[in-house]
Amino acid sequence: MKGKWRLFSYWSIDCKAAQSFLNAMASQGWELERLALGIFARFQSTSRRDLAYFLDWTDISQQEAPEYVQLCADAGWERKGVFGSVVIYASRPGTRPAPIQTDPEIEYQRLRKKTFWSIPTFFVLVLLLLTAPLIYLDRLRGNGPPPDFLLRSNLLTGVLFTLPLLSLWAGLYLCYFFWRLGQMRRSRQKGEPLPTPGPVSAQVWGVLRLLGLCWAASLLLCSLGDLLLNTSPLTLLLLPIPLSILWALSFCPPPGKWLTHWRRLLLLYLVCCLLHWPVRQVFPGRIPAGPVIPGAVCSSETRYDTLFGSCGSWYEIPTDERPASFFISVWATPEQAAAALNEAAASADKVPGRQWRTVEGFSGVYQLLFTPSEPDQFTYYILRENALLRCSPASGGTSGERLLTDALTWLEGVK
Amino acid sequence: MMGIPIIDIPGGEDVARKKLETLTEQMYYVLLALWAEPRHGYGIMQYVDHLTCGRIAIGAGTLYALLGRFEQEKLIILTDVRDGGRKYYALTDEGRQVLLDEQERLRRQAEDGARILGGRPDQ
Repeated sequence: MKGKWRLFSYWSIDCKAAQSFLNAMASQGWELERLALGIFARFQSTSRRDLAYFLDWTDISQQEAPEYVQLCADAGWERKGVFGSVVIYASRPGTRPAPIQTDPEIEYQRLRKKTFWSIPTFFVLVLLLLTAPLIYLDRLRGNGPPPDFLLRSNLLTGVLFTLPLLSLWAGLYLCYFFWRLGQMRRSRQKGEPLPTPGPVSAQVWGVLRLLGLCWAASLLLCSLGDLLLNTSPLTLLLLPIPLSILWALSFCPPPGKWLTHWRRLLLLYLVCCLLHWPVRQVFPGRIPAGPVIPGAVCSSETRYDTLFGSCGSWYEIPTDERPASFFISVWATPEQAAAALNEAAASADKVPGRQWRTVEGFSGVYQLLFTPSEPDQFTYYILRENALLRCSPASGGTSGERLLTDALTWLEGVK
Repeated sequence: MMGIPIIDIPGGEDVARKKLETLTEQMYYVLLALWAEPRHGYGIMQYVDHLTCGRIAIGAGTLYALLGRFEQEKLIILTDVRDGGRKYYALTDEGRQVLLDEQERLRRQAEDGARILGGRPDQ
């Protein structure tokens, strides 16, 4: 059967424009076959000349009352799909049913009751609008070190860098939403049918919705990348955020069926979890393989790699000596690594008894002594371009001089 | 389960009550359809369509909202659930009175209009 795809990206508030589009397609002999990803519509040719569509607002978090569904079915309407907070009804063959809503006042109240306060999207947007600029300014202001999660989570990094745009996006949408709502209120007061937005205007604003979906999809990819590479409980906890935003914005499965609807994504999630170990083993990242001390055995190793940096920590147990611990952070720029070093120095100054000093004969090497009475309790901080290595020999273990020499040699392999 | 579709205009109950003092055309015909016998939702739609020769069309969503509101205002009462879960409604005494009052209001309105438009303003 002949078919065609069309972009179908409308906000719920523009459902009258979407309805108009579907009816225009129907008048040209095309009936809606299905919606895909909440942004595409598949049409198939039809010989029907009595096909009509009505788009009815609904609360996506609840099942429609059975008597409502029955009444619509009796009247000649069958449910064809859902997008946003809108149910698409099509007339059954051989019927010419009255529109589902014939009273603008009641239709407007249904919009307010069903979508205005009930959709999670609305609250997510308000939250983003209010908090995004604050979070952004707080995290990236001044000369302080960049947030640690830039090295640990692609998802959080993606969220942080898109916050200003996201805030703008949420603000634009909310302005548009209330503008349309105002138009509807005025029409209702005049007793006129609720206005149908112009097709071009609705499509242009639909692009904004599309951008939001692309953003959510890119965060989803970041999440999957984290699942493959980074063993962070935070990532696992935050994964539902992009998923729920995607859900709220577009897919909107029927209540109670979201698990079925999301089975492919859940499967992908599980596959990534299963692949984590083998992928982590073969992925080289920016940090060279251990050990730093030749002949030592590495243990308790953790590694994180993101688009903007890497970090890792582990212990090394030389065959004849006591273990040493290592932590390395590889930043996007040398300035970020230097800021991280400065923060470590500033932290040391705040603790009484701790001593921060340069190591003579070595450029970019510092030593943190924990207590003056125990000179073998210390940590080296070695700054090399965009990498900062922190290593501590265990008391009575590997000698400081040997550790430093090994570490400097090993650091040459950092990309 | 969807809640009863109250029309919750800011201003609350008073506004909703006030609106019922004057029925909209669709409200009037829904109550009229229940005057003689209990009917279910689709039965009301068919009856009104037949009675008005298609002039008044009541949408399924609109009817559902009106039935919920009338039930809450105790103008109609649920009498039976049969025929595959269809709910049958009947007018209450209060509903009959509201309909009679509206009928009287419309009669006077029509009389006033006829007098003026018929060129008999002083009668």
